[in-house]
Amino acid sequence: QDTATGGFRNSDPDAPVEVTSDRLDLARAEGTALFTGNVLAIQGDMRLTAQWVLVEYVLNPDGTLGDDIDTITAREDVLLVTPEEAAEGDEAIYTPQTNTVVMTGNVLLTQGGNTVAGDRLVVDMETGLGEVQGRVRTVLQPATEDQ
Amino acid sequence: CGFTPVYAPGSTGAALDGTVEVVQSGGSLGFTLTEALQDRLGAPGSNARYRLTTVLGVTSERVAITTAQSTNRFNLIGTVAYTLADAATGQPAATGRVDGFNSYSAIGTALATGAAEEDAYERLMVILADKIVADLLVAPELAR
Amino acid sequence: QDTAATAGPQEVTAIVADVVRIDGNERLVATGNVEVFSRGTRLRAQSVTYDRAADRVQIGGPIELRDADGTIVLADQAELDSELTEGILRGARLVLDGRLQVAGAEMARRQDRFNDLRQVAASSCKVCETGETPLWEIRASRVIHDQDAGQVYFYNARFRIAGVPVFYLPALRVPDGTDPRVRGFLAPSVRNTTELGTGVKLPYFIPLGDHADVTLTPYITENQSRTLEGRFRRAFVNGDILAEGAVSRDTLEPGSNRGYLFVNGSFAIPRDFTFTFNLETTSDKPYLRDYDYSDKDRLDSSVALSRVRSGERIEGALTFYNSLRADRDDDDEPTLVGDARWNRRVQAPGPGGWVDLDLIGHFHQRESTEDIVGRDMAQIRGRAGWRQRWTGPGGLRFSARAELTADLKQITDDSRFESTQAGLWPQGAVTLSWPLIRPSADGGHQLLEPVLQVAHSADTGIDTANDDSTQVALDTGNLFAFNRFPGLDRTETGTRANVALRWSIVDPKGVAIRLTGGRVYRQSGRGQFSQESGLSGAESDWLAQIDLDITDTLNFRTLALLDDDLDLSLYEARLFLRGPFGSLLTSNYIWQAADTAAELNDDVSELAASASVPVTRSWSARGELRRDFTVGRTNYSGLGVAYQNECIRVDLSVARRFRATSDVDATTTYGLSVELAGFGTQGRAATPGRCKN
Repeated sequence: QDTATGGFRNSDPDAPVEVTSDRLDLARAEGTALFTGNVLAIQGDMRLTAQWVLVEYVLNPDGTLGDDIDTITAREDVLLVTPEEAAEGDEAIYTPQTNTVVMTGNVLLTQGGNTVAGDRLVVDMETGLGEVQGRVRTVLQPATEDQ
Repeated sequence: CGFTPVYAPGSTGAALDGTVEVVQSGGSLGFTLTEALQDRLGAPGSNARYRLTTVLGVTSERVAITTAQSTNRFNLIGTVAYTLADAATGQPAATGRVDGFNSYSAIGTALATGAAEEDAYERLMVILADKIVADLLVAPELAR
Repeated sequence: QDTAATAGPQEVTAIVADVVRIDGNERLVATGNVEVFSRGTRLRAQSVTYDRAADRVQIGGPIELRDADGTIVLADQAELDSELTEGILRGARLVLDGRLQVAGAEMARRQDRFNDLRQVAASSCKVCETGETPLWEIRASRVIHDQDAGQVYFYNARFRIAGVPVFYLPALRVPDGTDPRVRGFLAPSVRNTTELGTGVKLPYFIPLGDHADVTLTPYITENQSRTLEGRFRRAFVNGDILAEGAVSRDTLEPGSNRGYLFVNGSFAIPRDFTFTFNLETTSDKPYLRDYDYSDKDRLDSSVALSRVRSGERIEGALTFYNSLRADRDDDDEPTLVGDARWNRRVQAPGPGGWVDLDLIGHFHQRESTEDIVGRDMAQIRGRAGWRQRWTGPGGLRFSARAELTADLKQITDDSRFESTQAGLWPQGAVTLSWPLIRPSADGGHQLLEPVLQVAHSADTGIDTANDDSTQVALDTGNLFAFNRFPGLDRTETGTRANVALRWSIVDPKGVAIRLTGGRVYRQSGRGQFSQESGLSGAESDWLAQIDLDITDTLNFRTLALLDDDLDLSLYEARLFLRGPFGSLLTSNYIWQAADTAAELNDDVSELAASASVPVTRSWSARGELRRDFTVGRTNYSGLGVAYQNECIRVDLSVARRFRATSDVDATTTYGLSVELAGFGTQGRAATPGRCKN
C-alpha cells in the first residue's frame, strides 16, 4: 500500500531548496542561515512558508561549511503545502537526509476536504505516510460534494 | 418553676405577633388553612416582617367498614410543609412539617355526610394551624 | 473542534482519536479511544479506518453506537458508510428502551431507519457469564427495528422462560420505548374471585393524536362473565377530561347488561374560575364492588365553579346523590343539593384584626312531595364577623371575637314548621391564653399553654327540622369554634366556657410528646346536642389529642373523647412505623360507642394495618388486615409477594374479604401480573442487575 499516489510525498528530496525572505543573517562559523520575515522555501513541488526559518548546514570535519542541509526549522505561521495536502502548526523541523517532517503545536492537516487536528504530526516524505498524535480530531468531508 | 411566657417582650412570640403575612395558596382548603393561621398570628398591617408559605396535602381513608362493606367513618390525614421567610430578603427563617388527622361519620344521609365531611376538613385545618404556630413559637432559628 | 467551512456542521462526520495515520491514497486510520460523530449518531470503537474514495468506514470493536433517538447498538466489528447509517455489524446487540438487548450474529443497518438482525436472542435480563440462560428471552429467526416508527418486529418468535420454550408467535410487534404512547397491548394480568372465577385482563392502548387516548381492557372469566373495561382521556389547553367505565354480562345478574361510568373533567375558565364536572352512575348497587372498580357507597354527580384568591373564596356546586348502601333506602334522602358561598376577609382599619364577610346559599330536595317525608329546604345566610388579638402584661394573650348572622330559611312539604322563617342573632367570645416555655439544658424544651374561652350565642329564632347537622363531632379543631354543628339546620346557642391545656415536651434527639386536653362547660343550652355526641349536658366529654414522635421512625397520633367517669365514647389512633431494611407498618384503630341519635346502633371496634417488607434486593412482601372486633370477623386480609429484577416484575397477591352481611364464607381473590422490563415500561424503575463475580 506504499505505492501511494498522493500524500505527503516529496518525490525529489535532493532537489535544490530555494529560500526567499525579507532578511537573511548568515553565520558561516556556526554553519547556519537565519531567514526572517515572509520566508518562502521551495523544493520541487513542496512549499514551506513561515515568519522565521533557520537552516543548519552540515559542517565538514575541518569546520568548513558543507553544502548539505542538516535541518530546516520553521516557526510562526508555519505552513507546509504539497499538491494534495497542507499542514500548519506552531513549529516544523524538516530533515532532508531522512526526508521526514515533524510538526508540533496546534497541528492542522487538510487532505482533500478532510481536516485532521492534533498536537504532533510526523510525515515520512518517502512513503507519504503521515501520523498525527495527541487527542486527534478529524473532520471528514462527504466525498460526494467535492468530486 | 423555670417557665417563661412565650409572648414576653423580646421573645419569639413577641417577634411573631402581628408581623407575619400568611400567603394564600392551595385552593379552597388552602383558604381555610390561611384563615386559621391568620387568626392565630394576627393581622400584620402593612409592616409584615415575615411571610409564611404553606404546602398542604390531604388524604381521606375509609375506617369503620361494616360487614356490608359500607363505610361508616372516614379519617382525614393532613400534612403541611411550611416556610417562614424574611419578607425583605426572602431568606427562610424557619421551615418545618406538621401532620394531623381527624375523622367524620358517614352513617347519615348523603347530605349530612357531605356537611360532616366539609366541617371535618375545616376542623383539620385548625388542628394543622395550631401545630404550625406551636412549632414557630419554639423554632430555634427564631429564638436567636 | 474547527469543522471545515464548506459543509454545514450537521452533514459532516467527525472522528476523534489518540492517533490518526494518513497514507497516500486517501485512507485514514484512527486508533485509540476512537469516537465518531455523524448527524446525531455517536460511535465509540478501538479502531476506525476511513476510505475516502469508497466513503466506507471499517470499525474494530468493541463498538458502541448511539443514535440520536436513543437506540444503542453494541457490536464486535462493523463496516458502515461514513454517516453510520448503512452497513453490516457483526456480533451485534441492539439495546432498546435502555434495557431490552436484542443480540444477533449479524445486523444490517439500512436507510438510516432499519436495523435488521438475524438469529436473534432478545432479553432484558442481565447475563453475567456468556452462555448463561437468562430468566426469560425471545428467540427469533429475524428482528427488524424500525427506528422512525419506533417498532420492533420479531419473526418466528419463540418465548422461553429459564430456557424452556413457552409459546411461539409467527410475528410479534413491540414498541421500542422511544415513544411512550404507542398503540398496542399492555401487560396482562390474571385475576381469580370466588364469584367470577379465574379471568384474564388484557389492556389494549390506542393513542388518538397527541391529546387523547383510549385503553380498552377485555376481562373474560371462566364463569362466563364477559366484561369490556374502557378508559378515555382527553387533554385540552385549559383542562382535561377522564372517563372510565365498563360493560358486563355475567352469571351474578344473568340476563341483564351491567356496567358503570365515571366521567370527570376540570377546566380553567375566564376570570380565574375553575369549572369541574363529575358524573358517576352504575347499573345496579353491588356492581362496583363485584368487580372491585370502586368502594364508594354513594355516587355523587356534580357541576361546580370555584375561584380562590388572597382574601376571597367563591364556590358553587350542584350535586345529585345516589346511595349504593344496602342498609339505607333512598326516598327519605335528599338527592339534589345546591351549595354556594362567598367568603371575604380584610384587615380591619383602626384597632386592627380581621373583618370577615360571608354569604352562604343552600337548598336540598327530596324526590317525594309527601308531608314531612318529602321535605325540601332552602336557605340564605349572611354573616359579618370581627376578631382581634392582643398581648397583655406577662405574655398573656387576649382575643375577642364578634359575629352577626342573618338567616332566611324556607321549608316546604313539612307542615310541622313555618314555611318561611328569618333570624338575626349575634354571638361573641373572649379568649385568654398564657403560653409558657421552659427550655431544657440539652436544647430541648417544654411548652405549656392553658386556654380559657367564654362564648355566648343568642337564639337563632328559627325552628326547623335537622337534615344536614345530624353527625356532630368534637375534636381540637372545633373546641374553640362558635358552632359545632356541621350544617345550617342547627346552630350552637347559649353560654359556654371552653377550656384547654396544651403541653408539649420536645428533646433535641427527636423524641416529642404533644398533649392537648379540653372540655366544654355549658351554662345554658345543655340539651341541644345528642348524649352520645360528647357535647351534651353541663359538661362535655373530656377531649384528648396525644401525638408521639420518635424522629421519623415512629409517628403515633391519637384522639379520644372520655365521659365523666372516663369511659371512652370515641377513640382513634394512627401509627406509622419505619422498621429495619426499609420496612413500613401503618395501622389505624377506631373505637366508637353506639350513638342511636346518629343512627349508629352498636359499638364500632376495628383495626386496620398494612405492612411492606423488602425481603431481599429482588423479593418484597406486603400484608394488609382489617379486623372488626365487634362482630369478631376479619373483613379483609391480603398478602402480596413481588419479585422484581432488571428484566421482570412478577406480582402475586391473594385477598380474602367478606362482601355482604349475609355472606357466610368470605370470597378470595388471587391476582398475578407479569411485566417484562424493556417493553415500554419506563414507568416501573427495574432494579439494575448485578453479577456476583
